[in-house]
Order: sequence, then structure tokens, then C-alpha cells
Amino acid sequence: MSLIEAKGIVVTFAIRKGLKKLPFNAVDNVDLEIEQGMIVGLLGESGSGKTTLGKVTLDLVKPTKGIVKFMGKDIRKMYKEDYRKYRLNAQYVPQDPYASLHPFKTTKDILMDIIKYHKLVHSDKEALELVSDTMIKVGLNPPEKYLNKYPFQLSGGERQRVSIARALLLKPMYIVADEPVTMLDASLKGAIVSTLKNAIQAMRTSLLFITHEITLLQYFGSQTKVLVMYLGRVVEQAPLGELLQNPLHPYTQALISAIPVADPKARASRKLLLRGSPPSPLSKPPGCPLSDRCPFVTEKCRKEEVVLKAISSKHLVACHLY
Amino acid sequence: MSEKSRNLAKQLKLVFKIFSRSPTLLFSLVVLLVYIIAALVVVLGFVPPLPPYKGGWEYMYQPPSLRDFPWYILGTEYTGRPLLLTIIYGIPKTLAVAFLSALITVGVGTAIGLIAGYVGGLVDELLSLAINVALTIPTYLLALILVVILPPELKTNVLVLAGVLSITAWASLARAVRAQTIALKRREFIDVAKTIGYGSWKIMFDEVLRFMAPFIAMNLVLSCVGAIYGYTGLAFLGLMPMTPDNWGVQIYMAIRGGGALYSDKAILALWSPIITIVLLQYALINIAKAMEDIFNPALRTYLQGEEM
Amino acid sequence: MNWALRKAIFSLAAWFLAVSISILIIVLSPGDPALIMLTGFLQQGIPYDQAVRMVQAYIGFSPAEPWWSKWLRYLLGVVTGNLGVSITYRIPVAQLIANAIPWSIFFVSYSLSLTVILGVLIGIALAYYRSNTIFVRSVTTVLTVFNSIPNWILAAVFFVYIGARWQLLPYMGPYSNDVTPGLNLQFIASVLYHYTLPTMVMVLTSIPGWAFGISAMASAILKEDFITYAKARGLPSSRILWTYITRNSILPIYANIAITFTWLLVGTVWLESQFLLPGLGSLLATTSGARDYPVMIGVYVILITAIVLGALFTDLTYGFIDPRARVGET
Ligand SMILES: Nc1ncnc2c1ncn2[C@@H]1O[C@H](COP(=O)(O)OP(=O)(O)OP(=O)(O)O)[C@@H](O)[C@H]1O
Ligand SMILES: [Mg+2]
Repeated sequence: MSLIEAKGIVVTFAIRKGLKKLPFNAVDNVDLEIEQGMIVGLLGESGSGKTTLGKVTLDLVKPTKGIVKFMGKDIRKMYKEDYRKYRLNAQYVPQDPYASLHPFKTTKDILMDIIKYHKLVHSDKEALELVSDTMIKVGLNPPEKYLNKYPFQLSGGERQRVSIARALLLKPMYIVADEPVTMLDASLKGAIVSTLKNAIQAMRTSLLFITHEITLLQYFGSQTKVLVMYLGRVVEQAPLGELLQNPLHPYTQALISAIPVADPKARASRKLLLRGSPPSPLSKPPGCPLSDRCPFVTEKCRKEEVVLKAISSKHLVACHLY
Repeated sequence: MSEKSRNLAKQLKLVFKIFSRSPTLLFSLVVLLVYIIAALVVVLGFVPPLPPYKGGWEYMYQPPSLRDFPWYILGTEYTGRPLLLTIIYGIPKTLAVAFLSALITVGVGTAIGLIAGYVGGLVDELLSLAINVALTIPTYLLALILVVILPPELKTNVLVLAGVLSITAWASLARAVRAQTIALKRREFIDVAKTIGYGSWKIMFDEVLRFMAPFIAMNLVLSCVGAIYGYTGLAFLGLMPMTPDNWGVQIYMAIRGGGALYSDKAILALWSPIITIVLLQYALINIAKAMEDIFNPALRTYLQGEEM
Repeated sequence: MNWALRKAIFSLAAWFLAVSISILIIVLSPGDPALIMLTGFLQQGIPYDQAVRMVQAYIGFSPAEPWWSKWLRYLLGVVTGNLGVSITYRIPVAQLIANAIPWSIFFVSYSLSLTVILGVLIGIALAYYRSNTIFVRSVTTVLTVFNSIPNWILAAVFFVYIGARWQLLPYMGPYSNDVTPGLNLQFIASVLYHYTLPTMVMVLTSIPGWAFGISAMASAILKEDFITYAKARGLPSSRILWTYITRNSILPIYANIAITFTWLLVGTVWLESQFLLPGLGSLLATTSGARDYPVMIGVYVILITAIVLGALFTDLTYGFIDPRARVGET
């Protein structure tokens, strides 16, 4: 049984344009399965619906259609105790470390509050120990240096570490890390992703790692399951190694060709550029969502919807070419 | 324990630092402290009781004298009682009415605004309607009617007065809090608070409320200003019980009693309560403006500077 | 148009609720006016049955009715324009109010326009000369002092000194005795002259709020990028300020007008009675002193009506000036 299972998720938002409301699907019929202790990468450009999908699995956004199951139970139909178990076991590391920490709370307030609210331990001393342990685990060492600081006194990397510590504190079974390092210096990215990886692997926690940089996923190994999203749809799904060596969807190919590589021959062979500008969910073309930018587009692509097809047991793609 | 008291000392020092950055603020703080100390002195009974009313022109508006020092240094008022004493007797009740009324105004306004903004849906519709209706009823107008029709024994009750003076005053705060809550609801730290498993009450009254703390504190002080305006102003219209310890009644008597209109005889009886009211309002308004600084951690730490 | 109609219906609902809740509070409060009036009549030796009928004739409901029937009956009176009869003047409340309304409209709109114009000008000056600390400090101090003076205190002080003691300006009555009321120049001049002192009080005590608000807004606008850009294009900063302030701050100014209108209307209770001017405020103040409940409640209802109309009027005019405002509301 999978830990998290999302089926047929559709999220419809509406944006105002003048006096009219224009509805669009930020997430469009997506399935997502995450097993206990497994890491799943969610890859896609800005606006592809990654955050929205992540929030649906955390019950922060109610899907317009589809169900989310936690340990086999529909979270909408759970008993109170089950829901509480789910709630405390599904944690979130948001995209923006600047907006995700309460500006008027010190690190100590932020972390101690959680323990006190849930009465996890009996004394303040134990609580402080637990907080310190978690802080050391995420590299906030020594903890005393950070405990009494407000978010504005922390660097971007330190904030993100506090944010990760907050997610780990409840020892959850599932964490959504939404582009946890996007706003950081390149030199810091690797360190923080490794910290996150080590921490969750020690606890056998599942992770949904959202990113638009495929290179970051390499920290999790080539067996990591990766979903590639484009305009609210999953266009390809495969283990990372397979995806890098044998990308099938033109969109995935384009993403991979954008990775800087040293070998000029390899670069030449992988050259593929998408036409046009980055997509907007409001101007999604009929048929395949990539049909207006794809170099291999056919008549069929412009007319017929595509569905995810299994090419091999672990490799799925949504493209009329296959 | 000792850590707590040390923390408190540190906080107080900080507040003092913020205030001493501007002489106006420091002055305002000193003024407010003087009023509070005076109120305590009265409440604790360190002040002689008000002498009985003395009729007759010769006792009214007597010039300052050193008799019973210091109570007669402002002379006497329209009932022949020492003016300074009646003014000081007005402090505890005025402060109590103002503070209670501010607590009610801010408590009700904040709670309604938070719940309407955070819960949304039908609850929001209903509470917004209540807010909009209350907004069309000016507090002092309804308070005036109520003060007139309430029986005298209720009119002198501090709690009743505080309630009357905040009867619809909460509405504008509720509207502002609601708008801010709706904006804050979209912030990511609220999403995180939900996944951490915090309940709605914890999120509303800790996470969201803490964010608005400077604004709420400012409104608490400004509501005191409003309540003092209403409390003395309605007395000036002659609608409150004619107790000598209400500054509004004192001004009313100085003018209607005729003293101030044609000579300088009642000049002290007119100006002393006026200055007492205006000074208090001035201090409170300046302190209200400083609340932003007191509650802003960035500024606080900047001032703490060397201690960190 | 649909939008304007919706606004109007919403205002009507708010008005109805405000009035009925107020009446409910009044009849439910421990000092039910009907009962107080009845006691008064009984003390004058009037037999019970006749006293009850008299109360009914004056205020529109009888002291013996249950609260809900008093409430309904008074509301019905309000809707049909029957507000009872004044106890002191022995004429219909509606007539008293009709005589008072024009004076209050004149006083409030005169003060309101002066407040808004002067407040905006001072606010912009504060923002524009913000580098000149002496100017900013002194103006701010003066404004804060006026902000801390309750309007009725300023009225009392002006009344005593500028009026009674120094005789610099008229301080009693709406016009002098030697003019004939009507549409003649002398009358209008006399009215304006007599309202100088009261209007000064209104304006001086309401300006600070406006000046501070506008200056904060203008300072924020001056810091924005498009201002730097406009400066870089060589536009003179006074013109930039004027164009952008007027364009970007119309909404807050409009919202504030309704609030200031309400504030000034309530202020007439003190100011009109202090300077012996006719109007709704003085009517309320004097009848409150005399416990003339039918008039008090009638004036109260009319003041609420004026406030609702004022808010509706600002909303509608703003909506017509800037159609974007109509979209904001759901
Ligand atoms: N609450 C909302 N209301 C309306 N539209 C929304 C809302 N949240 C997201 N959207 C829109 O839905 C689309 C997907 O948003 P989402 O945040 O999931 O994208 P993303 O893949 O996380 O992008 P990024 O990399 O920029 O974070 C975007 O077009 C966004 O503007
Ligand atoms: Mg995102």
C-alpha cells in the first residue's frame, strides 16, 4: 500500500480579467503515488502546477476533482483520529523561506511552540533538547547561536534550515519540499539538499521534492521516481537515470538539453529547442498542451488529447509520437 | 524565575530606549506615568476625601492659596471644593472607563475581524453584515441616547459606561482586521501552521494576531482616546450625573456657571480640566504612534544592538 | 447600473438593520422612554388611562405593550414618516426635523469641503517638503496638538475667548437680528459670518487626520519607482506629485470623505448647541437635556439615515468616476 496516493487530481482556479472570470486547470487529471520511505521528484517550469499539486497532497488546496489517500484511506472521508494522524505526518517545507517563517517569532518560539502545542514532551527542558537535536540534524550548529534570532536576522540558507527543522520536528512520514533551495546560492544548494536527504532517510520518511532544476534530483540517486509536469499535466514519468539517458517526451528532452554539459559532442547531439515563449495556463492549446511549441508536432497532436502510456514497466509518457 | 525578571528588565529598558529616541515620546510617557501614579494614589487612599459641597458665592472660584498645601494651589471650583483635588479625583475613573472601553472595543473588534476573515464563507457574510451595520451607527450618537435613558445608578457604573462608549466603536477595527486577516491567510506561514496541526483558534489568535500586534496595540491606545472624548464630552453636554470629579462637568460648570464668560474669575476652573484632558489625549496619541516601533522586532534588535 | 442598484439595496438593508437594532436597544434598555414618560405624567397627577394614551400620542407606542410590539410600531412610524410629537414643543417631530435639516446640511458640507481641501493641501506640503525637518516637525507638532483637543473643548474655548470675552467674531445664533431670512445677499453674508467661528472649530479639529493620512500616502507614492522614472524623464517634481497623488489617492480620499462626514455630523451635537445654532445637533442636545424622547429618537434615526445616504453617495460617485471600483466588490 502506498503512503500517499493521489488519483485524478484536477484543480481549477479562476483569474479575473476585467469584469470576467476565466477558469483554468492549474492541475489537470494527475495521478501521483508515493511509497513509504521513497523520494519522488516533481519537475517542471514555473506555473506548471507543481506547488498546487504538492499542496493538494497536504490538504492545503482542495482539489476540484479527484481523491487523495493516506495509507489507503481517503483523507476527505477519514475519522477524526485518522485525519489527525495524517495531518501530523504530512509536513511542508514551502517555496519561499522569507514568507514561510513568522516574522515576529524567534527560531525558539517557532520550534518550541510546536512541541508545546502537541504536548510531545513533559518539560521545557526536554522540549529544548528535542529542538536542539533537530537543529543540529539540519546543520544549525550550535543551536544556541540561532535560538533567539528572528527570521530577519538569519541568512536565506539558515532560514531554509529552520523551515526544514520545523518540518522534521514532528518526525513525519511524508514531507513536501517545494523548491527548498531555489532562492539560495549555488554553493549552498547541494549542502541543504544533502541535509534534507540524510535527515529523511534516517527516519524512513517519504519525500515529494519539487524543483525546476533536474540537476538537484541527482542528489537522490538514479532510482528516484521523477514526474515531469507541463501546464498542469504529467507528460513523462520515469526513474531519474532512465529519464536522463532516454528522455522520450520532447519537453523532457528540451529540459535535459538545457543542462550545461562539458562534452561538446554530447551537446551537439542533444540540441533541441522549443519554439515560442514559456507557457501560460490560460492559452493552453487544444490537443497536446505542447503542440504549439513542439518541433515534432503533427495534425493529430493539435486535435487529439494525449494520455499517459506505459512504455516499459517504470517509464510512462504522454505523447502521440509513441 | 531570575531569567524571567531579567528578561522583563531588558524589555523595559528597550521600551525606554524607544521612547528616549524622541523627546516628545519621552514627555508623553512621563505624562501618562504621572496620570497612572495619581490614579493609584487616589485608589490607595493617600489623598484626603473631597470636602463637602459649600453653597454661596464666596466659596466659589476662590483664588489659589497655600492652605492645606497643596490642594488649594488652584483655588476652588464651583462647589467651593479645592480644584486640584477634584481634578485628581477624576483621574482613576476616567482612566478606568477609557481602558475598559478600549479593551471591549479592541477585544470585540479583533475577534470579529479575525473570525470573519479567517473562517470565511457564511460566517464571514454574517459578521460582515454586522460590521457594516455597526459602521453606520456612530458610537457617541447611540451612547448619547443610552446615557440619557439609562437610570442614574447605571450611568455611574464604570463597566456600563465603558460598554456604552464602545457600543459600535469596534466596527472599524473589525473591518481592518478582517481585511488584514484575509491577506495574511494566503501567506505561506499559515499553510505551514495548518500542516503542523495547529487548530483554527491557535492560528487566528496566535499566528495571525501576533502579526497584527503593533496595529492592535495602536488601536488599543487610540480607543482610550476615543472613550475619554466620549466620557468627558457627554458630561459637557450635561447628560452625565453632575459629579464634581468629571472633567467634562467641570468645564461645563465653568462656562454655564457664568464664571468664565465675563471675567477671569473662573480662569483656573476652566483651563485646569481642559489642560488635564488635552495633555492626556496628546500623550496617548503620541504613544499610539510609537506602538509600531515597540512591537517591531527588527527595530527592537537594532536598538538592543550592543547587548546582543 | 445593476451595480448601483445593488449598492442601493445593500445600503437600504444596512439602514433598516441599523435603525431597528438601535430602537431595539432603546426599548429593551432599563430606561424604556415610554415608561419614563408615563411615570412623568403620572407624577403630574394625570390619571393612568389618560397618561398611557398621551404617551402613545407622543412617542407612537404605549408603555404597556410588549417590547416587540413597541419596536414594530415605532419602526412602522419611521417608515411612514410619523416620528411622534415633541413633548416640549408640542409639534410633530418630523416638522421640527425638517426645519433643522437645511442648517445642518449647510454647516456640515461647508466644514467638510474646507477640511478636505485644506487637509489635502497640508498633507501634500508635508510630503513634498519632507526633507525640511524644521517645517515637518513644527507642522506635525501643531497638527498633533489639534488632534488631541476634543472639538467640544476647542468650541468652548473659542466661544469664551474669541466670542464672549474679546468679541472678535459672532458666537451666538445663525445670523444677526437685523437681516431678513431669505435669498438675499445680506442674509447669506450674515450667515457665513456667524458660522465662521463654529466652522473654524470643525475644520481645525478634523484637519490633522486628513493631513497625516494624505502625507503618509504621498510619501509612499514619492518613494515608488515610477516617480523616480518620471523624474528621470525631467518632469518637474511638483507636477509629478500632483498628477500621481490625484490619480493614486482618489479612492482613500473618497473613503475618508464618508467617515469625516459622519464625524462632522456627530460633532454638530456639541458645536451647534455651543454656538446656539439651529440644526439636528442642537435639536438633539437640547431635547436630550429636556428628556424629550420622541424628538431624540427621531433625530437619531434621521442622523443614521444621513450617514447611510452619505456613504452611498460617495460609493456611487466613486464608482462612476472609476469603474474599476465596481469590480473589487463581489
Ligand atoms: N490561489 C490561486 N488562485 C488562482 N490561481 C492560482 C492560485 N494558485 C496558483 N495559481 C495559478 O496556478 C498555476 C500553477 O501554480 P503553481 O504555483 O502550482 O505553479 P508552480 O509550478 O509551483 O510554479 P513555480 O515554479 O513558479 O512555483 C499558475 O498559473 C498560478 O498562477
Ligand atoms: Mg511553486
